[in-house]
Amino acid sequence: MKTNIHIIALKVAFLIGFVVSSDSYADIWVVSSSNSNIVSLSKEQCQFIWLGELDAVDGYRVIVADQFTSSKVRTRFYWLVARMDQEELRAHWAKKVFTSGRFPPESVSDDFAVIEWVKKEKNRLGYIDSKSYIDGLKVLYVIKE
Amino acid sequence: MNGLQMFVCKSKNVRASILEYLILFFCLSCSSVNASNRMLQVFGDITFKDNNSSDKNWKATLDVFGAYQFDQDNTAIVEIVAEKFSGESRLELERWWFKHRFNDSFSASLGRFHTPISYWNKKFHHGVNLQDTVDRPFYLEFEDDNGFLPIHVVGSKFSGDFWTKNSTISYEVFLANNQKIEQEKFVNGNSDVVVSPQPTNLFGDKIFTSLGFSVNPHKSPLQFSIYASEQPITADELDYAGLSVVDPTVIFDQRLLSFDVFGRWQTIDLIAEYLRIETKDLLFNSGTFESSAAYIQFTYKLNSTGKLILRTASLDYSDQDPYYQLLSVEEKQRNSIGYKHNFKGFFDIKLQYSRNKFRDISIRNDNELLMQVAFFIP
Repeated sequence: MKTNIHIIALKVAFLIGFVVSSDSYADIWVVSSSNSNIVSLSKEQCQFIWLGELDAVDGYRVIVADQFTSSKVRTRFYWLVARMDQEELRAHWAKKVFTSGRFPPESVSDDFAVIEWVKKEKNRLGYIDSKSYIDGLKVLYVIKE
Repeated sequence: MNGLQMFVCKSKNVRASILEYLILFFCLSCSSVNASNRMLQVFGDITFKDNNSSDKNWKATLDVFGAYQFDQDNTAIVEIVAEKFSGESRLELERWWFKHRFNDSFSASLGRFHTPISYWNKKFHHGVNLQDTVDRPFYLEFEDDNGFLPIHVVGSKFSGDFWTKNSTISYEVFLANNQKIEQEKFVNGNSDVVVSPQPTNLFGDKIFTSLGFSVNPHKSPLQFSIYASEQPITADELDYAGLSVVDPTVIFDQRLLSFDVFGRWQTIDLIAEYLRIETKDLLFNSGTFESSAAYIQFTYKLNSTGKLILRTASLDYSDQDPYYQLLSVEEKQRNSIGYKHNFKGFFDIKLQYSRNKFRDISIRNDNELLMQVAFFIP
């Protein structure tokens, strides 16, 4: 009887843990440095920019950074913006390089590396987990789960 | 071995040595570049063709493409294609280049390129999986497949982008080697003579020049391009209509002007192109001739896997134009209807019916049925 109670308690703990963790995804913010010329972006613009179909906003050239393929933020970003998983993304860039010679965006390790990278030039764009936000950034688009 | 055969062999040796060099380059690159900046892709296809002049044939292609990003400013690609068709096989280095980016508005590249003569030639290369139809528009066929336009060039390219408030404007300037007419005689006599313009590899002495602009409006589904080129076409050795060329000679001056538009809406893609060709005959000194070629293609997306394609393409030239007579190019209109079915993203089956209507009434119009199985391993 005691063992059964332990098993039930364990199952409940797992269930609570699962519910809490699945609810705990923070928003993803598309950011640039605070002196960027870009005021805001739409979801469609984010999709086209990160897939290499669009390279300017309001006449200003933009450069984007990706996060490493192992990053969970990256996986969620492409799924929420373009409904693409990592395999589809890889195929997309393979075709892009073949047809136009254009390579995927530069990849950096994590949110903090993205923040460092976007701050270096004014029209650089990146995406970060909203929990990593620090002052000195401009939020151009909020992606909600 | 006669002179012509030696000539053909010589040019193949040059190609082979460049190939070896590039395979070496390919291996070195694989070992030294960070894996995330290196891509290796394989395209393959088998195409079956059946027409009412009783020609049934097939062709299998394997295309290996490598792309390397050494850093943000230095990139390179290599594309090698192996083909096997009715009793013959071919290994060709189709594209390679090394590109250095000075800034967004100026990059310089060196290599073997596809010319920006048309939207098709810029976007679709040898990996046919990426194109919706089984074949290219007939007048844009590759030089080895009876093409007669400068599809490939070897030399340098300068390119860049400029941004306005509403659009991106791109330019491409080529300074490359001209094309050379190659005549290939088979051992069984003079009746089988293949004449084709080929890009001169590395050591050409005449210059191909071209300038192209593309406009990509940010909020419009349409893209526009304009292109102009000029080149002297030479021949090292040629026996034709009683005329014999034995030393490298300029036999034509060719100028091209083209315009293309591409549009993409939710379910429809549109490609339309017009090309004007001016050829000055320096072989017989018979004058300057104008010809034109055009096609329009609609693709309708039926669902997530199927597409319906309609295309009409035509070539018109003057009967006296010696360029087309020399190359045995027929003046015709080709109408095609096709269906492309995509399985699992990287595997396609395409079916196509095409009808060729020849301007020369002595040639019977013919129908073709084509089937293609194509795959892509990213």
